[in-house]
Amino acid sequence: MKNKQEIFSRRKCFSLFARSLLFGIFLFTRVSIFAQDRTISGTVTGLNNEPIIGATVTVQGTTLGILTDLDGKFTLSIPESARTLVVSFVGYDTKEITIGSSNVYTIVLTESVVGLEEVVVIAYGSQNRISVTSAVTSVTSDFLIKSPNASVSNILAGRVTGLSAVQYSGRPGGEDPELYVRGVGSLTSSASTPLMLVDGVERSFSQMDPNEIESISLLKDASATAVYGVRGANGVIIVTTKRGLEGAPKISITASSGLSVPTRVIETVDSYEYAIKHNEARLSDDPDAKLKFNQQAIKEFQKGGSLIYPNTDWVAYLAKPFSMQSQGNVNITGGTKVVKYFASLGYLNQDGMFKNFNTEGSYTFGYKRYNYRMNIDVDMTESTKLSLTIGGRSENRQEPASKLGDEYVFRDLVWAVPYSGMMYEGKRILIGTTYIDAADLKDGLEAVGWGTGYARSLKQIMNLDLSLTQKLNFITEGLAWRVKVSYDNNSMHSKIRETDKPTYEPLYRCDAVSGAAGDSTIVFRRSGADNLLSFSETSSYARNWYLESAFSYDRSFGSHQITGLLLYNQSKRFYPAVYTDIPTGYVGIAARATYNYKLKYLLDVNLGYNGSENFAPGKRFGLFPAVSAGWVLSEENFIKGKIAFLDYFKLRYSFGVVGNDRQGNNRFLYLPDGWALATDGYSFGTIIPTDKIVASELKLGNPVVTWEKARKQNLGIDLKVIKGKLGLTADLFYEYRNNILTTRNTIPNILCIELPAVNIGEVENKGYEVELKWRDKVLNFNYYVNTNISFARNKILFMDEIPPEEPYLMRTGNSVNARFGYVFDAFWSAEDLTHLQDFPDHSYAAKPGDVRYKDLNNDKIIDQKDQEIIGFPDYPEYTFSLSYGFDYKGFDISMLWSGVTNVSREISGTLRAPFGNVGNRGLTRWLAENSWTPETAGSAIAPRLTFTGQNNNTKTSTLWIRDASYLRLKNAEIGYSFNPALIKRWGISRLRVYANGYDLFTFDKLKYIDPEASGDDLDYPIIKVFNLGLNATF
Amino acid sequence: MKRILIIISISALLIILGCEKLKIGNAFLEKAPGVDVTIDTVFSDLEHAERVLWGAYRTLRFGITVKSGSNPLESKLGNDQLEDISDLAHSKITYGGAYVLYYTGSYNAASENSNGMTKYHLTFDQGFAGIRKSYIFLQNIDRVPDVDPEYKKQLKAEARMIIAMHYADMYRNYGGMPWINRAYSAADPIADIPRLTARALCDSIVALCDKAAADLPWKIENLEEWDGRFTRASAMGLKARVLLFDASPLFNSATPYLDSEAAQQKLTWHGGYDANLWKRAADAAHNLIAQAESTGDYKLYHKDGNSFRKDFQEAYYQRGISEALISVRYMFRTPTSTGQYQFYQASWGYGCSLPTQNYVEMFPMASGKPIKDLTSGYDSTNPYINRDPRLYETVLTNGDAFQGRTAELYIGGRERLTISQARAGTGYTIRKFMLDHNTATSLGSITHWPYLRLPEIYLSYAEAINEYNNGPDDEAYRCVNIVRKRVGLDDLPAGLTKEEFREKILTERACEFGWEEVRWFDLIRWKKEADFKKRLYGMNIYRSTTTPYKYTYERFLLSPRRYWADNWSAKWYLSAFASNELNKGYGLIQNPGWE
Repeated sequence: MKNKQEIFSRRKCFSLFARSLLFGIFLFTRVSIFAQDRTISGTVTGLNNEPIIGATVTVQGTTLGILTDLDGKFTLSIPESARTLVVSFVGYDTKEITIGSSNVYTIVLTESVVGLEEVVVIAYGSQNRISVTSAVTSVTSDFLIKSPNASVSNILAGRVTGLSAVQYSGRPGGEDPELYVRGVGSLTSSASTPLMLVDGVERSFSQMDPNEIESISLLKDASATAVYGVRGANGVIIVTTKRGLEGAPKISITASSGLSVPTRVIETVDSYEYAIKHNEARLSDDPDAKLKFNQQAIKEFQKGGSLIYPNTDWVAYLAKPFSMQSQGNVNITGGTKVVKYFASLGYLNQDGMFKNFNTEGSYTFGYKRYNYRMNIDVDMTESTKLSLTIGGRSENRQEPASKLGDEYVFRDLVWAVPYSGMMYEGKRILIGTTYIDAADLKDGLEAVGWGTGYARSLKQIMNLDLSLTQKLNFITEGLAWRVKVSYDNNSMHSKIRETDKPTYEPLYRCDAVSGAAGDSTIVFRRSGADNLLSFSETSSYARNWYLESAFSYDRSFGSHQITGLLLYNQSKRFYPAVYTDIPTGYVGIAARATYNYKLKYLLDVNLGYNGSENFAPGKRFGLFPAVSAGWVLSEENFIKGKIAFLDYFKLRYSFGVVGNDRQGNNRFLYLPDGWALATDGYSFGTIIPTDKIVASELKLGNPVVTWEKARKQNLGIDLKVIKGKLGLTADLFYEYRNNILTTRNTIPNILCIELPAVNIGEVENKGYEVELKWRDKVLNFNYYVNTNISFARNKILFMDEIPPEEPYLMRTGNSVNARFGYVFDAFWSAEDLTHLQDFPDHSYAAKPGDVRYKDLNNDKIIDQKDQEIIGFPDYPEYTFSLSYGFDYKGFDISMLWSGVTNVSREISGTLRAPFGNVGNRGLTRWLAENSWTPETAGSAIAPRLTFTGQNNNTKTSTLWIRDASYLRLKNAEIGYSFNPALIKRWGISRLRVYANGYDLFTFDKLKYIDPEASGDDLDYPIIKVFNLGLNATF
Repeated sequence: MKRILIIISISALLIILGCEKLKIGNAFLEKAPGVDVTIDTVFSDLEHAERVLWGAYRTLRFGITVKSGSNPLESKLGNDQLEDISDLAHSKITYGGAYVLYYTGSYNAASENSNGMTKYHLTFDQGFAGIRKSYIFLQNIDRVPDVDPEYKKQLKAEARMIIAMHYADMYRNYGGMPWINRAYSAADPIADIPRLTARALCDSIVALCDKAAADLPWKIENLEEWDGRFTRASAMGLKARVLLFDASPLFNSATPYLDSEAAQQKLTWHGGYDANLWKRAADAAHNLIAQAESTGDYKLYHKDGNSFRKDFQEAYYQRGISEALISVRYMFRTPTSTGQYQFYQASWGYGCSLPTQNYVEMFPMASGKPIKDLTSGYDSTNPYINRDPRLYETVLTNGDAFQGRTAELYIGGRERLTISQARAGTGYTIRKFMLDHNTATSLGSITHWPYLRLPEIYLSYAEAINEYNNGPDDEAYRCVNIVRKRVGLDDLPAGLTKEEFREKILTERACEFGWEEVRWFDLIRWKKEADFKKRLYGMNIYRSTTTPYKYTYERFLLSPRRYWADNWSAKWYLSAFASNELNKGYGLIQNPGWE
């Protein structure tokens, strides 16, 4: 047997994932060759002529075979009788070559249309897309760098089927949206946020540099998330960072710079209109009322205002027409057979939208972020790999130290009245009460914190992972062991510098100085101190540990392929919000076994076994099983080859249970009736300054509290037709969640028992997702069109609700966070008010133009019983998107349209209360134009301007509920790549210039505020970005 | 290179693993906190057990909002005070409870579902919380070893007083209430907890007071350390207050104030008129008066050298004086910053508790003659001179000494810059409890709130005996005049009829007890519909532009006019039960007129 030739099984790494994570397809064949009559050789390449390394070349009908070398070449001795060569490589269609007289062959493989090459990251590993039986959406990072938004989460919106994102604010460094996977499945939307992992460890990813990210996976059903057991109920988002590839160092540099502009700004009226409308409102409340603005003031305002009678459009005055944003990244990747590396440095700078009047202590918003990463993989031996992952960022935020609270800057700007003042010769002008009845006014300069100082915070986030993988082939082929330790360190340090600056009241000299009668030159009366900046600082820190150790097994036996995983993990978070001194801990065991037969019949079993500190010993471990199965019908003989256009068709189904152990920030839910020995005090005596210590009962205990469980089912299909050009993925899901951790509501309040969390809530959530992808090439014109739609609707089945007076007041049976409100009937007309007996009693003396509501229960009284569900919740039921693009001769264009529907916003604040609820705030243009007046009675869409009627008119009602559906051009990009041949002489292998944008156009029904913003006047506006950039690879 | 990397990596791994003590599995999960303090530990010694009682004390009603935040001390009535819904004061806080719920008339059973905006909320105002804490104390104190039995009796009596006080507040806001007789545990089956009749609730409160009175010391010996604890005088005083309410026409009448199921079941009405209830109230008050006078331990505060004004101010503001029968404390000193002192900020800046012109006119002249009396010497062009000293101490009036200068309440003056400004928006602002509105007086000063003062007992006796005897007797006159004399007013004129005498007393109570939560209950127990309907006024004061300054006075109608002024219903006398509580179905019956 001396001429026996063996081909050793080799792990084939086709992609980055397969290299870095323990998954792949093992070919294990022992092939004997008995005779060599002739030697043939050849090269195996792909369509674009790049050599394919490691392709298998065998002689059909024999066990003869060999693998191609690093140049894609092979040499093989074959018997004369051999007629056919079979060349295969994972990710490519297997090709049969007839052996002719030639001894040299060039074999070109075409990429498999069924996406065999696509590897997706799943829980604790990765898997070939083709063998996935659960609901997983995976996206690669290409598109992440197309969008200039600073938050990765916003970039994901619309890209990932099954994920919905709601962005409320556009504040620099504060744009992160709320994310939901398959909508809301628990009793509140806040209890429905998904688990987010970066490189397998719970971490936030929104502020990562998109250039560091290799892929993002969204795990949606129980089969995909069961191994996370306790934490998987709301879906899981896994972000995987880039790792090094063998080869010469490849350096990539990206720099871009752009302009950002608010999508919408709440507009307010000028002083003249304000004065007219304010007086009108006063008079409509009370015809004898004293007016705030006299004729003199109105005349001055009409002339356009002056120092004495200012007229300032605060937003226009204080906001820049646009602000700058810039981003940069340089990364390097490469490696040898032994050491591979990826390193990246990123930079982001966002300026705020407000001007800085160049005064000490006057600062605007700003955000600077520095991201860094160094991922190193070392093959210490043939079977031992060590990976080191260091990633982190520092975030510098700057905000005005507004006395009103920096989160309210924009609200206070809308609240500011146009006649309050301005800057004049470096002085902050603030009118007094001499000429205008200006009591308690809000000023725009005060709103943006002019002169009051600033706060700067530095947040440092450092993540460190170290993992070791040891193949245990010496025990049994395909077995490996790995251990991973992670350490995260977060710290934050804020410096706050505050001060006061004086204001100057403009006065005619005759009113300021006695004996200057008739002198109308303007003088200024200063008030307030001109202080130095004070200094204070605060800091906070956190650290988290994570340990994971796993055995994995992956082996094929002929047509049978088996994988297995048994994993233990534990994590600890220090300094949590509640019981800061006691770290939170989690432990878990995850197990997974998969089996497939010829990639035709697929079966996965997943188990999570988790322990949570929130439950009593004995109740704290929970078992979360899930099974899923797949059937690739297109591999069946009765279909294969029978339907010409059908390339791939898989049916899959999963069922499983996942859990949740959290109720808000509460911890240790099982604690017995507890007591606190020193909370507040009571002051006895007459001269004793220290209070007597008080003992208080805490929450009562519930020793049997345990897991909230979600039973999830998912039915899906994956389809590829027309040579793989058209792909369809569709999923139908149903989730039933019970044992939801919530509090009993029906215990009499007068017992004053503070109740513990109990497992009583029940919610169902169901929906579907459809994703269609088309990709084709016509000559040199590559193009694609992708579209997806997600729908999720939930229903509360049980929440221990107090039985309401009317059945339509029930929350049970309706959506989570459904909004209840009155139903707008009409605006009262003067005629209506003459026969009040025909209308329900509003407990309010209405005037024409006030809101009349519908009497839902016909008891002739409008009260809380006349509320029903109005509109949809704040989170959308439907999310859809359309993206398309092409490249042609170096040009590439892509666009993403994204939209939502079945979503509502309730407009509130100064958007519905004229002059605010205290009557001396700004007046929004929308209200000024749309309010009821006797002349516009027929067409008005808002009630009359009033102070005394606000309570009646601004109740939550259908009048203020808006359809917040939108369709927006979330992202568009046009780029040009220079011909590689032309730039080669500068040592540049790839050079691309591009222009892109974020939130460029929006079609919606709200018009005056962004449809994603929260509907009140609180938020910093959402911004759109126009950006120009350049990317060069060396 | 490779070797170095391996060494670095392995040592890093070892360091990381070595840093933290490695625990696996269940042992890795942290031990929960707090399990070491249970009810057993609390009641294992007297010092800790007493803390439970101090915690119950902490639930007692404190009439003004002290802190800034979200508990009843902080946003009772949504920043307003009870006086703001009476005829004494007005609030301009458009988001406050007075304005939103009461002025607009939108208050109803649903308003009680949410916290903090109504005049008395069953859980937000800590009443039932205090009752639970007291029962926990009563049920467990006997477990504490080595306590002097006499002292234990006193402690229990204090706990009973806390229950009685909370029920007294509820009685005056709701009528008959469900009687909680123990501290429930989470496992207790919740059967019906029906309301007691008004009669039964009153008797239960009185029984608690009587039982407590037997075990409480007559007075606190060590005032410096223990002033503020209950005494026998506290118990007798509370009993007198409750019985006066019980005897008043709201419940003690031939007809219910509003017919409904609650009235038929005698939850908000006694079922008829019984003159003996007045006697019972008069006796309770007089028992205390007699004991106070015979021992000399309790009397109306007067300090030699003090002016009438100073006497009155110290009488309500100071701790440790013999006049406050029940003194409630939350803190030793009021907050030192305006933002932290909610009442300070709300009354001064936001505009709550603005005294009405109607209130100012209730105060007589310094002589004691009402301003309407043509012989009183009242000068409407100079209205703030020679008035009852209590006016100046309750209401900040134009020209009074203030912050080391004189108060400028005219339009354009420092206290009232513009006519529409919230501060001093009625032409007045509150002086009581706020003093000079500055750090020297109101901020950072030692504080308490006088829940019950001795003058009330004198006036209650006079009122009750006047009703019982169909006219005042000499003792009734004597009792009223004691209160008037302290601030220098002349005696009431002799020969007043029953009705005249009653009105004199109610006015006297208004002048004496502003912001001590007396006026509202006087209005409702006397079913003062006319006072709810009457127009309320403020005063615009204008100063001439030339010196010597002349002031002109212009009464103006306060806006908004209260909904009940034009749409009166007797339902306003008592609070509504929260609709959520009714719907829980444990036997609550709604008060008349609410649904």
